Order: sequence, then structure tokens, then C-alpha cells
Amino acid sequence: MDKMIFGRYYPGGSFIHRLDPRLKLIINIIFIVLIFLIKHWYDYLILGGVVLAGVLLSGVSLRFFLRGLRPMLWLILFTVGLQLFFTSGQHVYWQWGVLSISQEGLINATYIALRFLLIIFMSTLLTLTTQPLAIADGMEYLMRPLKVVHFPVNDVALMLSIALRFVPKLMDETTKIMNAQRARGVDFNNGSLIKRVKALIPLLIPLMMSSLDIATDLTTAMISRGYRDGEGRTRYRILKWRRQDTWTLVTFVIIAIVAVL
Amino acid sequence: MQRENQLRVLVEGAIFAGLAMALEYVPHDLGVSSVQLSYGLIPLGVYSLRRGPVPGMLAGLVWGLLDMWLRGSGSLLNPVQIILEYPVAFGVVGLIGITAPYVRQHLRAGNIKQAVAGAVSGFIIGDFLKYLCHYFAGVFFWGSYAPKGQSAWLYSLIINGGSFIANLIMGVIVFALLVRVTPQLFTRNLE
Repeated sequence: MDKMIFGRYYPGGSFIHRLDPRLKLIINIIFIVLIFLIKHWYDYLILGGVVLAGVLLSGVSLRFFLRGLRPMLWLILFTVGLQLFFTSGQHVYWQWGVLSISQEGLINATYIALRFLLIIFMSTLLTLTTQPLAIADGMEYLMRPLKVVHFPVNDVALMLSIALRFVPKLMDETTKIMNAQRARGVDFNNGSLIKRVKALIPLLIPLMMSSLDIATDLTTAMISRGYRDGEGRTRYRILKWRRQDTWTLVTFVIIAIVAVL
Repeated sequence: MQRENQLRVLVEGAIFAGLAMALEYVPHDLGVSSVQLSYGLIPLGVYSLRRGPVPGMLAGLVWGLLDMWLRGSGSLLNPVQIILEYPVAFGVVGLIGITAPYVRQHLRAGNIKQAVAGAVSGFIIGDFLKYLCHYFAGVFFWGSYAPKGQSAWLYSLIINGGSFIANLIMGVIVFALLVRVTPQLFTRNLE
């Protein structure tokens, strides 16, 4: 289980690793908007080039990016399959009952597969080259304008950092309890929906009880160390925006404008 | 003391959001690719029933942000869809806590049946609102991925309706059992 997420940060000192997490988040947001706006094959080519440049500059093996695709593979195949076999068109290459492959279906399926691939590669680039806590810090910074509407940005940032820190521990705890219950004969993977749901109870109760204990211990530790929230709170990790971040943003915005026009 | 309590509520919310996220990695394949159980709804529901709807929504929002970031890369289409399907859809799960005072009151009085009814009703509200968000996202954003000729409304209903019902069955059974077997889960360490 733990291989699925927190192994995703790939330590390194590449150009992409050194970029500010806020910049990487902003670029990801712009990229998602762009993917939605573009319509021509050459636009996909430009954005594909951007992703390829990012992958090469990160110094991370392509294998890690392909691993990021794995959890989404069925969703991609399902959506692409629907487009491919159920899109009607004028130029039909193959037909069998309600299923058909047409030129329009092929084009739609290719564009959709490309959209998925580019978005997954771009967001994997962010998570592979940025430490989770740096992303949390970046998110907190980008959410700051929401303070105007009294949104509790500091609280959300604190919760996000704590949750991130404890997800791997809770996953280990889940695996341990699941193994203990399996040794007692509980089957989590087979049976009807109702049987599976009932099997969850011996997993959920110890997990939630120990989560309450963790929360109590952590609160006591934070209070005894003089934790205080709000304005004036000092930080251990400070984000620094550098010249290379500005130039990367300018370059990306120019490419984005070219792709949209 | 009040500050300590506020911090306790936040930390507990963070840990339960983390647990909700961790549970999403437990294999829960039902054999139908479009129907998915979301085990994370259970700890989030328990937290919301302990602390009420507002802390519940905050914890749901954190769960949504974690899910978007750690698992959502293939499900991001545009900013509006992202906000609707992650912070909003996961945030409204916290509304399970609408029935929190009712559940606590009946647990303290030893009326288990009423407490179960309250917890289950809260869960139905949260689950319904979450999948309502996914349903509208399906209609307005994923609709373009539906096969040509098929209505986006029907496409989204097929994709999200199955998950909604499967999670509803899961939540009703789990909360009915949890309230009976471990009522202290909803009342322990509250102050």
C-alpha cells in the first residue's frame, strides 16, 4: 500500500526540483486550464513538448511517470473505449451491432487519451519533484486571498500538514490490523457487498480508537511546546521565490499564449 | 482551555482526514469499474458526528485536497470541475454532522435506536450531497466524454448512481453497527 503514494517524491537536485513549489502549483493549474481550451493537434504537440522538457529536466526516470499512470489506467481505458466504439461518424471503418469505429471516434479517443496522459504526467512531475510538506506550504500561500472571506487558511494548512505527516503511519496501522484480522480468518476481498462491509468493522474500530489516541497525544505535545496559531507565528520552512522561478513562469505563460492563439 | 479545545478539534480532524485518505488505498474493487466504495466516508462521518458539521466540513475539505493531490491526477479536467469534485464534494460530507447533537443526546440517554437513526440519517445526507456534486460534475464536465448520442444526464447517473447506492448500503450497515458496538467512539474525549 505504501508504495502507492509517499514513495512518489523522488529526491534530487535538478532544475525542476529546485523550483518554488508555488510556481509548480501555478503552472499545474494553468496547464489544466490550457488542456481544456486547446482544440488542435499542434496545440497538443506544444503542450506535449512542455511536459517532455519537464520530464527530461527533472532527471527522473520515465518509469516513475508511467507508474503514476497505473492507478488511472482502467478509467482511461474505459473512457477512451467508450469514445472509440460508441462515437458515430460519417467515415466508418468497422461495425458490429451497436459498436463501430469511425474516423471521428478515433480522433475523439486520441484527444481524450492525450488529455489524460498530459495531465497525469504534469501532476506526477509536481509530486515527484516536490516534497509533500513543500506542496502543503505552497497551497497555504496560494489560499491566502481566501482570508478576505474569513476562510480559515491557517487551520486548513495546519490540518493538511498533520494529515500528510500521518497518512503513511495510518496506512501502516491499517495494513497491520488487516493482517491481524486476516490471520483470524477475515476476508476483505471476497464475498457480497454486505459481507465485505461487515468485515470492515473489526478494522475500523481499532483504527479509529487509535486515531483518537494519536490526536490526544499530538495536541498535548503541541500545547506543551507552546504552539500558537494565527498572525505572528514563526515558520521552520520558508519559501523563497528566485529569479529562475520568474523566468520559468514567464516562459510558460508565453508558451501558453502561443498554444491558445 | 478554549484554545486547547480548538486545537484538539483541528488535530483530531487532521488525523481523521488522514485516516480517510489511508483507507482509500485499501482494495475495494466491487467488480464493476464504475462503482466504487469510499471507505474514507466512515471516519469522516464519525468525526463529523463527534464534532459537528463545521469542523466536519473542514476535515472533509482537507481529505478532498489530499485525494485530489495524491490520487486525482487523471480526474482533473478544469478548475471549476476540480473545485466541485474535490474541496466541495468532500467538504459537504462533513454535513453528516448535522445530526451530531441529536446522536450525542440520545447516546447519553442510552436511546441506542434513536442514536442509530440519527447517525444513519446524517450519513445519508452527507453521502447524497457528495454524489450530487459528482453527478453535476458528470453532467457538465464529464458529459463531453460520454458516447455521442447518449445523454450526459443519464451517463452521469449510471456512473455516480451505482457508487452512491453502494456507499449508502455500506454507511447504513457500518453506522448501525458502530453506534451499537462502540458508542464511546462518538462521545470519548470530547472535552
